[in-house]
Amino acid sequence: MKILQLLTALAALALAAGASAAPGHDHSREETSEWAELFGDASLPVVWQSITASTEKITAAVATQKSDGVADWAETIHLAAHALIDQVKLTDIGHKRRLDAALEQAAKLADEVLDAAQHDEIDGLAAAFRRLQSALLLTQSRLPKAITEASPETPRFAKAEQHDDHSH
Amino acid sequence: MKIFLPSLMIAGLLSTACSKHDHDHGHDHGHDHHGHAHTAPHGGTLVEIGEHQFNVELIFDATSGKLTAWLLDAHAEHFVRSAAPGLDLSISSAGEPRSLTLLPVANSATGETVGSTAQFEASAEWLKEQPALTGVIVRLDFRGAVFSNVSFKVTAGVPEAVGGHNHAH
Repeated sequence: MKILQLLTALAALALAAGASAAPGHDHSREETSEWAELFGDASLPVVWQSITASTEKITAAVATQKSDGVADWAETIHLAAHALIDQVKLTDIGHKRRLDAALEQAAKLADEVLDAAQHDEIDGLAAAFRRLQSALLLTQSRLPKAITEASPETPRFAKAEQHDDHSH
Repeated sequence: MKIFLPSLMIAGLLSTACSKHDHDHGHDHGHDHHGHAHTAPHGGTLVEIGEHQFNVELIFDATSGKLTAWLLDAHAEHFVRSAAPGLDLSISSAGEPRSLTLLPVANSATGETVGSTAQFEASAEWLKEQPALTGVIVRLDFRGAVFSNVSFKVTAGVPEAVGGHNHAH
C-alpha cells in the first residue's frame, strides 16, 4: 500500500514538472528570452537610448511617408520596453507599477507600429506612432533620471521577423 | 525625436470645464447623485469625481481589450481637456490588482492634442473577454485638486455612438 502511495506521489511530481516546463507556460520567461538576445548584456541607459534612437528614425520615416526599416525600429522599442519592465527596479512599488503600465502600453503600441509597417499602411503607421510617442513620453517621466539622462552610448537595433501576429 | 520631460511635469489640467454651477436638475438622468443624475455622452459608464465636480465616462470594449475614458464636467455635458500625460488605473484581474495607464488621444476633428485632450485610452491583452472591470482611478489632478482612489465598475459594451467619436467640444 505504501509503495502504491509512493508511486502515486512520484507520478504527480513528474506531471507537475512536465507542466511547468511546457512551452509557453511561463509568459514572463518567454518575454525575457525575447529581449535577452539584443539587450541581455546592455546597460539600462543603452536600452533607453535604443528606444529614443529608434523613435528618431521612425519619426524621420513617417515624415517622408515611408515604412522602410520601421518594423525593425518598432521591434527594437518593443524588446526594449520588455527589458525595462524586467530590469528596472524601484523601491516605490506604486511607482514601479505605473512605470510598467506605461511600458506595457509602449510595447503594445510598438507592435501596432510594426504591424502597420509590415503591411505598408502609412496612415495607420503614423497614427499608431503618435500613440506610441505618448506612451514613451510618459515612460520617460517615470524612469529614473540615471537612465534617461545618462551619457550617450551606442544604441542597438533589432531585426523584426516577418509575421502577422505579434501580440503579447 | 526629442522627448521633452518638462512638458510632462505639467500635471494640472487645462480646462473648459462646466461653468454651470446653477444646477439645472431637470434634464435626463442616468446616474444618481443628490437626487439627480446625468447621461454619459457616448452611452458609457459615468464615474463621479469629487463632490459633483467632474465626471469620467468609461467605455470598455472587451473584444479588442480597449478601455476609453473621457473627462467631463460636473453635469457630464462638456468635455474637459487635460494636460495630464496619462491616467493611472488599478484594475482587479483574477483577484489581483493590475495597473493600466490610459494615454492621451489626439483628435484632429475636435482639435484635441496630446497635452490638451479629454480622451484617454489603453489596450491590453488581459482586458480581452472580461465581462466587466472593477477598479480605481489611482490619481487624478483636476484643476488644482487631487482625487485619489476613485472607485469604478464598467461593464463591457460599446455603444453605437462611440463608433465615430463625433463629439463637440
